[in-house]
Amino acid sequence: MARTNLKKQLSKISDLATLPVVANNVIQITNNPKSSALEVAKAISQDAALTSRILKMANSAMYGFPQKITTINHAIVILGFANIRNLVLAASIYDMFAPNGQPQLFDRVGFWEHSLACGITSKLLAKRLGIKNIEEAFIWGLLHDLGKIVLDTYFHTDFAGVIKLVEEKNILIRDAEMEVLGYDHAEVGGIVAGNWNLPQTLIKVIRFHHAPPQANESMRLAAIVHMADIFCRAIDLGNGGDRKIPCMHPEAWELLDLDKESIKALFTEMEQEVIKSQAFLPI
Amino acid sequence: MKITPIEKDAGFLRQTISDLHEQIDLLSMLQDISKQLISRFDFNNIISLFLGMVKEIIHYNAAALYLHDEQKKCWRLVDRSGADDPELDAIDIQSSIVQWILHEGRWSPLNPEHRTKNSISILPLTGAQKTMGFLLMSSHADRDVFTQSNMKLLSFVASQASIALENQTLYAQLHQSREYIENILESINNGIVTIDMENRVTQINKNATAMLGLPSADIMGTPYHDTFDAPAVAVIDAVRKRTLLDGFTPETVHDFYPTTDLKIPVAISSSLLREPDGTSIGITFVLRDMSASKEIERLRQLDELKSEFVSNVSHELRTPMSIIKSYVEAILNQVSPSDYHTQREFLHIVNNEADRLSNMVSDLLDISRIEAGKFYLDLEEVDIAAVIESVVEHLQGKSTVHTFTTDLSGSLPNITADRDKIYRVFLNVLDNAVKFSPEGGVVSISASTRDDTVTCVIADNGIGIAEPDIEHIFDKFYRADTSDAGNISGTGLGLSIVKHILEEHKGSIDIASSPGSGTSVTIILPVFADYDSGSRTDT
Repeated sequence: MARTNLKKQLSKISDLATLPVVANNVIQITNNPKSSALEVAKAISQDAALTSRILKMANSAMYGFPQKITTINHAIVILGFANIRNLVLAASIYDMFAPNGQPQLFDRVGFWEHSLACGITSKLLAKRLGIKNIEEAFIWGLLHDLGKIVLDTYFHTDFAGVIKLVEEKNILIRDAEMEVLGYDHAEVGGIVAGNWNLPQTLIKVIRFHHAPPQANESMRLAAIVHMADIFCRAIDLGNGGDRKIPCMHPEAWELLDLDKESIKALFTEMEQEVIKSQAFLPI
Repeated sequence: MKITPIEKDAGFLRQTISDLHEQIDLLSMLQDISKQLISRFDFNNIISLFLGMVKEIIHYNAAALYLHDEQKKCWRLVDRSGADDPELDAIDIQSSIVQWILHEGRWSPLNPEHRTKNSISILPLTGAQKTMGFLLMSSHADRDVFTQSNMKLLSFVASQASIALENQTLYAQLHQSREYIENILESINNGIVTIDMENRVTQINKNATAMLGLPSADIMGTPYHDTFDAPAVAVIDAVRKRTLLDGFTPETVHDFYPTTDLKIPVAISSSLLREPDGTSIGITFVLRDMSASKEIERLRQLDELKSEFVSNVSHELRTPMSIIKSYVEAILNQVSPSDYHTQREFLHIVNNEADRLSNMVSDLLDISRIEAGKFYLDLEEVDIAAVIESVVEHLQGKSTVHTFTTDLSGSLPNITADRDKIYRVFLNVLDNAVKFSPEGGVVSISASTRDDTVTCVIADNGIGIAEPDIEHIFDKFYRADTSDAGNISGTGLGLSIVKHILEEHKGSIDIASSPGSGTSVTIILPVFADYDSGSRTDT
């Protein structure tokens, strides 16, 4: 596909892929620093199904709160605004692109497993780097490949070509995307996230998770997700859409400053945390 | 139910924008407060500022601050703010919820499900390494305090307070270790001075200030050239120069003048202060007051003299005793009772030896009285010429080989003195003149009066005294070590007592001599001395 068509193609995505209103409202409300837990709770409560799923996730082993959280308001004050917003976002986006039970060319179950593992790994890496709001890192990892699932949903035929090429040539999905579409899932994901008014950091991480230095001031965060992606593929957590491991970006590697021992420890931790978060899928 | 997207709501957007502006103002204000917070090193100051800031944000009714006690490994209540609240006291800080909140490090409510009047929440204080403590707060439940901005603000304030507390702890530790080092420096008996490479004093202990005669130790940062006196500067300059060349200097002794009328010998050693990488950063000087060690040396010598004295005295006492005994035995057993002449001769010898013994015992008694401070004068009008003549007469009776010449210049005035003791003075000095002129010779005594003083000069042409011995001649137990004098008896106390007697009389004694050419002793006594009442009484 010619590069000139890109804009046109992507504007089509903007029209098609719209975030559910509740998720959108929650993002808008949490963007206002003066918003209260009650306002956010009110917005979420408008969707009963979402409410019960948020409570289920809030009560999961991943957060380890010693008592049962029974109301959204409680969940917000206990887990914090960022956690709740991320849970709403994760649940809503998962709903939009959930596996539909039928065998498909693009392995959606594997995709979400990979995304969840990446979220967990990003959180672990962020903690190791001393980043304070590690709950944000989870959503960066979880949504970094948003573009792939958008492409599979809205450009299904073109994307099928990409998958076929990956299998034929055993190449990276990103290289196949460039060859077939002329752009990659990172670019698509970035545009969609922008349209959804997601936080700027998240947009940058999605857009530059294959090229962290281009994320400028968010380079450190993009590097975390970049490395999390590679680590998850290395120990085969989920399915990234190809059977290859992308090249490690040297600057990202230097920035994270990991030695052999800490990588070994990280792999063990990753596997344990992934087991703990099984209750998350389906999100 | 239709859910409306609020981004289409112009009112919501306007509100959000205005709230964001408000937020920016608040953040810049917080930055100012945080600057204040982290620039403080006083514990109570930090705590009260922190509590004040939190109160401004969520208007709590009551708050209790707990900090981790590193020694006891538990949470310790350090401060309270606001009203007394039994609900706060009832909180079990070991409960799993509290532990979970501290682990998560986020401001969280403890009882969000309970519809009570107050809402209890915990704000963890998370430092760089660990959770340092937490603030337990109670606020009105109907106030909607759990807003996103409150959460952000409180987390910000808590993190700043944690940093400030961590800094304060480090500062306190630093302060403590500095005090400890200063304590060590002060407890060292020597003077310690350190200077930097620009010659500024960086450390000085009290001993050093005392030795240098500085009014206070508050001269840190001042070049030593500006504060030490000239002799000290000269010494330090020289030592510093050598230290810079060699890295250290061995101990050398110099005179220091802490006050104008006090000179103390000080031994100085020094070494270069170096950073671990070898860069020189200054010099440490160690100043040792040598007066103490000199005093020890003096006492040691005195002790030696005393031992020598005991053996001398024993010998001296035994000699006359054995002479007396053998002559008395001879009279009793060998001399015929009719040999009156020999008996008389022997008894004369016994008498002389008994005198010698008696003198020695008097000397010993006197010296012990002097040492005990119980040496008193029994004052009366004394005809000094008569005293001298009686001494000469006494000695003439004992020596046949010496000639005595007296020149008492006509009429000498009577003086107020202790007759017996003045007699002892002249007896001792003249006896010495006789003793140290072993081959016989002339002992001349002259006396004259001038300006209410009587001056007597006793001169002999005996063996004389060597120069180094003269300055010690009045020391207790001192005897000039000359081979010629080896067979001359004495306790070494005589002149010491003489000097003391004369000083008690406000008089003086002076000796001029050189080996081989005789000795001249000058005694000066005031006619009317200004005695204090203590000297007049004899107990």
